[in-house]
Amino acid sequence: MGHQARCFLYILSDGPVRSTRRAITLKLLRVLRSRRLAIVLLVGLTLYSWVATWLTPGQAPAFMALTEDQFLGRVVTLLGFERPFSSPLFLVVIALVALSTAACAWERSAVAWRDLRPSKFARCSAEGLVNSPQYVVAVDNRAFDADSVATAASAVLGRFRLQPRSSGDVIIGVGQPYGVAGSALFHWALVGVFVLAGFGHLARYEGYTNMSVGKTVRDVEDTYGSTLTKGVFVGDGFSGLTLRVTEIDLGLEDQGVDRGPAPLVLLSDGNRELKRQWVYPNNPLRYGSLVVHNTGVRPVFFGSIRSDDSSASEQVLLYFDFESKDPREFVLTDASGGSTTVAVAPIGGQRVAVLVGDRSTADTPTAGVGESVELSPGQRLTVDDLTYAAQLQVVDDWTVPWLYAMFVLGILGVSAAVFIPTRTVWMTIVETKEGMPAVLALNVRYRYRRNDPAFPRQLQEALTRAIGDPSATQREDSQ
Amino acid sequence: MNPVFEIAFVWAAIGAYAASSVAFTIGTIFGKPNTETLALRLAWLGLILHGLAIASRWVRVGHGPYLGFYEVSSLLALMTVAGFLLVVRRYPGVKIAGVAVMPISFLILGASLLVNTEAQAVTGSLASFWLVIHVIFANLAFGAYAVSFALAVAFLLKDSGAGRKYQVLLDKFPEQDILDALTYRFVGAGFVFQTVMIASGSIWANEAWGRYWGWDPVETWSLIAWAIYAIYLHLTLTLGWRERKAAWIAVIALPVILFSLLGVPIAYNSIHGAYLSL
Repeated sequence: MGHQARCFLYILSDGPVRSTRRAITLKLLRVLRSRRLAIVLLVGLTLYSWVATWLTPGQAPAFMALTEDQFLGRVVTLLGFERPFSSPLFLVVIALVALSTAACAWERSAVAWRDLRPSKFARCSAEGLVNSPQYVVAVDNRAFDADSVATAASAVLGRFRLQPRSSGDVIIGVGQPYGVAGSALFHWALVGVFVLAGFGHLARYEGYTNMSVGKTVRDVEDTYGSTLTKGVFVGDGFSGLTLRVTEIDLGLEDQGVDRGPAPLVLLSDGNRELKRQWVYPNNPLRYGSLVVHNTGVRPVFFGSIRSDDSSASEQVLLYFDFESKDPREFVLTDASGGSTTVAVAPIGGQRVAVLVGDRSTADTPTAGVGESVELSPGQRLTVDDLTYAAQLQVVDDWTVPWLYAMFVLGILGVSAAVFIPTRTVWMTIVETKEGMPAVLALNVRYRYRRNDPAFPRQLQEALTRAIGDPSATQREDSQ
Repeated sequence: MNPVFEIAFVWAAIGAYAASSVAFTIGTIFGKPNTETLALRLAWLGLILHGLAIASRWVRVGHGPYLGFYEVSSLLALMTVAGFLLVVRRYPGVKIAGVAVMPISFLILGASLLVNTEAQAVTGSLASFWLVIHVIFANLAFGAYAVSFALAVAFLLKDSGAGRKYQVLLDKFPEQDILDALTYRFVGAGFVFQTVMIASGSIWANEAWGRYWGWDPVETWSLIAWAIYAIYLHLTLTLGWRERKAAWIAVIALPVILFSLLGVPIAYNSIHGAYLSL
């Protein structure tokens, strides 16, 4: 086939497009695995996070007051920094960090694979050892012959935790290989964390529901109303199981520790009880990937408003803060269309105080369960119940155990990378027969990582102590 | 156990740390080896007294030094001195770093006494074995980073002092490549410990609060400090930054980790605030 025909077929087979695409991909990979880019991204992430700590609502009130300044406030809004850790800019930075980490992980894996192949050690070393050693140890010829030099040198390697091997005339000391693979493993684990955390947000649902004693809800989408956060991949992921709070202990003590207010939660499938346990911090209810946390217990007021001229009633449900028990308010609409604010506050002893509009606090009426308070002529508020409700957080996120696995792998990887030195030593015994008797020397080459630069010197000193010629050492010292 | 013992031990430890700091400073400036030896002995004495103070409190309150600014910062100071003294046993020439380490430890321990020292009960979300793991590794990380800081300071002193007035004194330091390598090793160890600290905190947060990461200021600042040390490691391992430039990063990074551990609960509203309450 002629050259022109080959070109024609190349164009027909979409070759230029594929070639361009491949070139772009390779270039992109080169950019992403750039060490400088990794550092720039880390610096960017650091600076962004620092700024974001000041801008996140509620975290730094003094700084937030400054953002009320019109100009600064506009800048914050313009950059989408009201929720800085979910702003598009932040997501882009995180995505780039993840891609860069993946490219680095790939590159490090290749390095680890190359370094872990034993044949590579021997091939590399044999060529340069005799002609270009990194240093030469002059052997004490009166005390050592070639065999005993090899034995002593191997022993020195052992002291550095290098496993001695022989390859022809070359003695090779090979360190633990895990250090080489550690960095790659750590970077892959980080990639795993990024991917799983991101996917977890898309595949997870998290709903909150307030449940007083005896209340039952089903784990379906409608249960959570506006308090549901649902990832786009959840679909029909709700379990459909039934949750029920059967009891609330306001000061649960378990295993001798004050656990605070806690509900006893029952999980069932129809009439079949699946699990029942006290739910408090560090002790969530788990069933498969479904996790139920107690995020707080609060006093709750159930009331109803009735008019003299109607049999219908309007329900009132108010939740109070457990500690402060600050009043909660609702707006009352009368028959003429006017509205009045009604405040209800728990006052202890299963009673509430009911303050209507701007009525004097001295006149504040109180009521217990079953009693009523007159709100306006012809309208009464009846206290139906005063009890406690647990706010349950129900989460289904199957990525969490995998995320923990990535943590473990990451820790193993970074520990190996930091604590296990990557060292290789090649040695060969050289015999010079120019004089009589023959003179022995040990030619040494080595490879080590930046993290232990003292290694060559320590090795040389150890070898010199073991097999060196003291007179040669003295001569060097005197020079 | 009577709190008097704890108070007596902690004040004695502060006295020993202060005296050690003064002795290190005098020994360094005037080049007196005997004073340096005395400083080292005072540091050991302070460490033992400090350890006794923490142990007596542990027995008295029934839990380790995990809760509240006082306990946490006291343990940080202890780990810093312990890390320093361990390095000095292996590399005696590094003892000059006591000029930086001992005043830092003295100030941290002294500052811890300025706040409420009442014991907090282990209740609610604190009642978890993850607390122990999380705090131990936070302290190990800080101890390692503090030693790397001191080694980097020693490196910079030696580097800047070449041919100057204190040359004789600076010659006593280990070789610069040793200082540089040790700084790297301690940063590396601190990075591993901090990684464990963040991971264990994340798992604990999910057990206690139902989310493993919430961008709370303490969490974010931990990430910031971790990223800064990651930058150090990348610069040294991949771009070959060594010696002076690397030492400066180790020096700059320490205030960040210190702030993330002790300063954030003061400067921000944080869900972690209860554990480091003043």
